Amino acid sequence: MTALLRTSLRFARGHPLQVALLVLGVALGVAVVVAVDLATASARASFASATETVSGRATHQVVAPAGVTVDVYRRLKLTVPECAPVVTGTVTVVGDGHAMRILGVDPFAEAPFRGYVPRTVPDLGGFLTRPGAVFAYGRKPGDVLRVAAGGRVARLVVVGTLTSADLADVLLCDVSTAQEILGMTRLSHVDLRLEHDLENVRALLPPDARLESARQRAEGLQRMTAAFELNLTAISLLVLVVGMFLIYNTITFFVVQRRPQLGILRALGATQGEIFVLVLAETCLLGAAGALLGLALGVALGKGALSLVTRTINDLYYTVPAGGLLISPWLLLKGILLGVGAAAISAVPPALEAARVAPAGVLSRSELERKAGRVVRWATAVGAALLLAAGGLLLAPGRRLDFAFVALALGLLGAAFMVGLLGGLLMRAVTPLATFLGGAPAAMAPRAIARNLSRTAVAMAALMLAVSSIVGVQIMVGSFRATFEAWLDVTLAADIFVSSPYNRVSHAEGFSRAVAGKIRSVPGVARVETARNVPLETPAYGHIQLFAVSDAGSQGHRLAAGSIDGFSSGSVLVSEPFSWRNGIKPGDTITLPGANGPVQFPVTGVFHDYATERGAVMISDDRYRRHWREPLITSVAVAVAPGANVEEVAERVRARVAGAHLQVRSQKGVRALALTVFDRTFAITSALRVLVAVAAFIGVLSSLMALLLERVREIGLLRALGMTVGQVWRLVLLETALISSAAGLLALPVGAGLAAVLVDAVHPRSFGWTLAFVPRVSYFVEAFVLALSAGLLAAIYPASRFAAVPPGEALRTE
Amino acid sequence: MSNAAAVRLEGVAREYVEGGERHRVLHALDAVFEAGRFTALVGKSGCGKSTLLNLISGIDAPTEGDVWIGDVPITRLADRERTLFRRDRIGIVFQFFNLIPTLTVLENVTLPQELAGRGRRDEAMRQLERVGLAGRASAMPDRLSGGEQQRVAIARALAHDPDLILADEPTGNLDPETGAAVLELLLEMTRAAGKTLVMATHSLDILPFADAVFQFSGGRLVQ
Repeated sequence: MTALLRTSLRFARGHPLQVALLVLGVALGVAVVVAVDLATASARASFASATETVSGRATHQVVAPAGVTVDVYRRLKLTVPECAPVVTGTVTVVGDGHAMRILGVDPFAEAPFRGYVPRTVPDLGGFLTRPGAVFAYGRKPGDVLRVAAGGRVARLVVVGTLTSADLADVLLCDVSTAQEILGMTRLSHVDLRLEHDLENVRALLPPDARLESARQRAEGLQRMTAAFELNLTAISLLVLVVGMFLIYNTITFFVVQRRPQLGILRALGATQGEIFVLVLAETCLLGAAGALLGLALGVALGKGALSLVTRTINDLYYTVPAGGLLISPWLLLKGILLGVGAAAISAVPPALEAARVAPAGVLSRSELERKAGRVVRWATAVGAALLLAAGGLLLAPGRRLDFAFVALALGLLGAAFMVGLLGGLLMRAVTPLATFLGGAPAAMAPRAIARNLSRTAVAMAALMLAVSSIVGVQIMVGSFRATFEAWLDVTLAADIFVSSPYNRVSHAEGFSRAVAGKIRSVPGVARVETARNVPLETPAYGHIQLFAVSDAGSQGHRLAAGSIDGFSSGSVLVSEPFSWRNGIKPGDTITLPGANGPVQFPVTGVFHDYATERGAVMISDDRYRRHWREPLITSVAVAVAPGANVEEVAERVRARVAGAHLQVRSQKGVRALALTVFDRTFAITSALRVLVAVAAFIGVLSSLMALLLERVREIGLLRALGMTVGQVWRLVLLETALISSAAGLLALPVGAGLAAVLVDAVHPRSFGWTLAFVPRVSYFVEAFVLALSAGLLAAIYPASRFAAVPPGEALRTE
Repeated sequence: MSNAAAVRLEGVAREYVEGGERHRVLHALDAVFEAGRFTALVGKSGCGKSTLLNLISGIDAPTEGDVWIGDVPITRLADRERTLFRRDRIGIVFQFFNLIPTLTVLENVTLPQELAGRGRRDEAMRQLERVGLAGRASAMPDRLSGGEQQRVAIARALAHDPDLILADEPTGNLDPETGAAVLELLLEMTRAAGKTLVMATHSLDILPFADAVFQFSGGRLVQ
């Protein structure tokens, strides 16, 4: 085996560029997967750590939709020795818009729960007595903070320092201080330490309150991002799959180039098994090198990915403290195994081919191409079967998400298998045109491609796969954006919107509804509608958004099913994600936890909602106030009277609400903000798409170069027979242009198909959204140009090498 | 009328650098190979025969000296002109046939003409008929025997009506019987057309057929 490995080493030393490109391809695939893994794991760990630190050692919590009354706490305190009240909520720092969590506690009850709560006299003094006193991380006593909450701005003074970085986004204060800041009269929840007596404790609770495990609550919150993380992981795996195909491509070329050498080794006595193991071992070694490089790249990329992931989670789901990248040894090991594993799997087919190389001199090149012709026919049949299987999975009842992903993989593989036949047909079709345009020398290019299918088909398939992935993801994101824009056009029906400047999808600031009354009296205002947008924890449906509106009809929501009949008399509308996730349709009844206990609501319709995939319920404002007794609103939508100037009315509204720390935006401004958040959400997807493009570029560069460099002798012969250097350049450029154009053309329908699966199967089954399919021409043009550019750039080195090597040297027999 | 060209060597020398050392293969050769005649270059393997043919064809360039073909000093031409000259006026028959394995027999024969932008299939078929392989025009090279492949190579070398035919050990890879048949064919076709034929060989059996014989000895030519 040592002797065999020596031949491999010599070969690798003779082809350093190809080896480097292979290693880089593996590294890129591993880097992307590792970066996404590290980012999501770090965000999750950061959240878990922060939640654990904030929850302390509580085993259970008593919660209620409208808050837990102090009476309930007192009752619990009599029965449960380890019991502490907690007031918590989100505030926004005035100026930088940074979200922070207010944690209001009773220091005298905190001993069993949180060790960082001050308990000594000097610390307690200011904590309990000074108005707006807080402990904070990274700030010193005396620092002043202004925070916005509930439409008011509170002035906080730092009286002590928190030392744990997990509390970086926490402002610790007394319960009553927290209530004052947040405008609450009740407690957010009560922490308990319980080992048994759960039923006794439950018996003490009023109908609207629940006893829950602290760990399960935290896990439930984390599950909100499951779909987002799954899709991110899927796209990162797509990069790895593209990388795997490129590895297969490159190793195939290595085998093909070493065919004479392998034939000699077989003739000298190397067994088929030894050759198989040799090729596999080589690839695993290169894969390991690529994986190690990929780990380093992945950690570097992970930092960038973490900030994108954290920002998206903060925007859409919940507050995650900005933690550092958590480099887990398990994730690094997973990255290495993934790189080596991907290389090994990709190497199996070419290793089998290498093992089947006949002993030296038996198999000629044209026999090889005849074999390739038969393989192409077989591969086409397999490809068609895979495409049919993919179709079957997509149409299978149950609308399963895993089926959709598998169908995606099978579809891409199936298309790749068919490239040989389709590419050959394209070349035959192009030959007459080439002859017409450039005479016999031009016709040599498509002829060479069709006659060297054992090489050209592999290169074409690899490039096709990569370009189709780029097209597919781009169409998916573009379709989503187009759907989102169309939805905004409908839902943003008012002319002016008034809300807190610090609203995010994950957290909407409330303010007094008296503001709506003030706005109604502004000259030029025709109509005013209010809305309240609050997160609601439900036993049956998890974390949802409750959307209370004064008039469903005026909100402009398009319905996916049902109607708004009965909305004003107590029926509700549910969003598409809610309907999908919980199997709820018009005519069903849902139960939500109200302030006085569970309340049932008939469902009258399903509305499109792309603001959050969490699931939302739309209820009338008066029903909301009746069942949740919460007086705040989140936004005011203003319709301007016909003929009135919108800007002038907006100025008047601004003047009327001055001092309330609210923002008055035109419809255009709100739309622009929504699209900014949308684009930010897909920033990481766009980054991954760029990396797919880079991986594709590297792969096609490697395979086209190998394809051409293998023909040094043939080109030398053509030069000896009278081909000029200029003709060599034109031949090489035309060949690579044809290969990459064919790949680019074939990638367009495959990419569209990939996008269709993402839009019509993966997204609805992940998030419950219905998206329009919007394949813009520009996406296809860009992808085709990318493919063509990759091909032309790949031609430069081989063409210049051919031109530089004298024909006599190229013709020398080995 | 014959378009044969004479070949004139003036002080032609060629050296290579390998492993940091200079190797002088050819030492200041001076010779004339007459137009329309068959000149044999004889010598042991590795003496420089193929090198000289490469210099004459313009595939390679000498370190010193000039090569004239007719009244054209090809060594003074730029690479492009030299290539065009070779394409239009020289036919080459290699020892190892050097047919393109993924092209048919006919396509191999028309290759030089295709490079010149001319696809004269009729002339190519005529040459294939002359070498007795018109019926194998659509076959792939690996389906032919060694002798048949060399006959295709001869047809390729003549299809574009060159002035000069260079043959580098054309029978070196064939058994004696086949080699003799190929040699006879080559001589017949070049003599019939009045072409200049320069052949490198280590086989002394060819010498009786040559109009002139030059022997390689220590990198020099002796007639």
